[in-house]
Amino acid sequence: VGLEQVTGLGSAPETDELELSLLGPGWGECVLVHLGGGVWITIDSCVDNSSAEYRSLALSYLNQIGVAADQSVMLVLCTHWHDNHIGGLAQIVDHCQQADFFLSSALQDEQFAAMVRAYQKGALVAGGSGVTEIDRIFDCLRRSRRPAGLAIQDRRIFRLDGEDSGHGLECLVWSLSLSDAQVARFLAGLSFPSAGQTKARCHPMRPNHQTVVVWIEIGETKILLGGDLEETEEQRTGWSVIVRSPTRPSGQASILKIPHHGSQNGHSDCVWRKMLVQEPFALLTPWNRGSKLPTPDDVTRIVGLTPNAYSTATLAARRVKRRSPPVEKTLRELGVNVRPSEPRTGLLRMRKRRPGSWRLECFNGACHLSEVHSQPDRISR
Amino acid sequence: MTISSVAFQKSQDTATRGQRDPQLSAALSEPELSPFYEDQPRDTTAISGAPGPDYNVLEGERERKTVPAGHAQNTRVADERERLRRQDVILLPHEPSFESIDRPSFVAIQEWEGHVIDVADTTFLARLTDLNVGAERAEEEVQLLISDLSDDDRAMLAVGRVFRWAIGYQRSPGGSKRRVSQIVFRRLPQWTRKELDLALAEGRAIVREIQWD
Repeated sequence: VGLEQVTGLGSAPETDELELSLLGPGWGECVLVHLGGGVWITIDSCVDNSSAEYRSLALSYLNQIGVAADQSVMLVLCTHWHDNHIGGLAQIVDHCQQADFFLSSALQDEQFAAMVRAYQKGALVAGGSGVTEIDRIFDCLRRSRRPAGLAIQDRRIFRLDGEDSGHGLECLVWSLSLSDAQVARFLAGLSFPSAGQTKARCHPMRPNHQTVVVWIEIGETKILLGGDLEETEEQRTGWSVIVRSPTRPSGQASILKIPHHGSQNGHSDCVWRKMLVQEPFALLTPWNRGSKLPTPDDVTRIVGLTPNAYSTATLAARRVKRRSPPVEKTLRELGVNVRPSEPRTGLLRMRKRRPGSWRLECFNGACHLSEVHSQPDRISR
Repeated sequence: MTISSVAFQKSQDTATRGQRDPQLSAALSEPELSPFYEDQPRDTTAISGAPGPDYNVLEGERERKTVPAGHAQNTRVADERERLRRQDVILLPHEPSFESIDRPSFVAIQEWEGHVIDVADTTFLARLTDLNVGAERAEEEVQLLISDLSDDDRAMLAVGRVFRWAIGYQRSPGGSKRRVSQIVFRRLPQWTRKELDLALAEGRAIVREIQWD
């Protein structure tokens, strides 16, 4: 079932009610936050991989719960450019004309924009160039002449007054990256093609040095959204530069969007020790590209750190598409398994009124992290 | 009695795939078939043209049959043969031309376009776009053996490279038929200096025209 067909999503949160929703995995992942007072922010974007249409799930979800996105979304943020992380983001940028738009400061570089154009124009393959979405976003920004803000380390990028928030609390949104060193590493690793090189699909660079990490403060409630940032064991990049920063906002977050699908290389002990409360809510979208993330070891590690860990979907095998008997027979003889590349798209939704505690809801296969490798029909509710 | 001799042209040469004898197209009243290397799903029957008639028509006592000229190797020709058989036309193998001797045909029944996302020691991982259903996104993936690739294709194996994977039936010139799986890495063109200069100019224009805040 596609997420758009899921019933029971209910209505929009009350004006004084906070919401954090994580959608994915599909073509991307998306975080939606209702700060209060009918003001929403979106981070990254996702297209349902069960849907035949390439449509932003964030816009669909907001529409389903009765929120007019074009009137309510006030901040749109792109943490990094990978096509498989921001599917449909250009639709959000285009639709939410009142919203401030921010993206990684590294993407302001001419060489990066040239790389996008080269790969996009050289796209001769089914399945896209690998830079399609960021190309659409650049095109949208050029046409609309809307300003694009740059997310850099420890920059306050959005503020909602207590008077407008519906609950009386001031809301602040910060970008905690990119540091100068992260930008430099990213630009040094750009893969601009050279003359004579065979055209190919653009492939993401590793490690990911260009993810924007987001910090949200709603009164005493803090939220840390880790994007896809990987730890590098280098003091000036990765998570180390964020944890060590003397200028980052203080406090400890009670909700973590786990970076990089729970992988070991996205993990930092220092983050859990210094930036999070004890046993925070930890949410992730799983990943199923060759090696599955999180691995069973990752699950053990995360669940050992907090019992409140959840995934938007399970990694159980999705139903394989049925093909004609000769094709099925050939695949069997070859010993290969053509499988859906992503799990079903699910939704984790957390809501909270003041005073009160977070209430978590799981939709369309979302589950406790300990069940992420289980079959969907065996998940307890 | 009418006796007709038929030769079926086979094509293995990928360079000639996609060509089709216009007379046969007209005779069969079918839309043009999509060539193997176009981004078209469905029927990828390869037909190659060659000069001269392939059907030798001999007059019988009862009727005279004219048979369309041209070389063919798709299944619709089998239908044509069946029709002729019912009309008392005997089809005899025509002495094959030199070109037709070693040119098996290939009719795809399932096609994907794949791009390589990881290469290991003995296998590579790829994302697949199902061309049979006209998918626009790579929604499936597969792990394939490197040893299954030809030497030429093995040299092209790298992350980001694009290939076609087809499963279908191969018919030999002798008429035998077997199921095959065929992976061919696409020989995409190379970037030219001119294209890259243009991309650099466009990159500069993008950065200049966006109002960075």
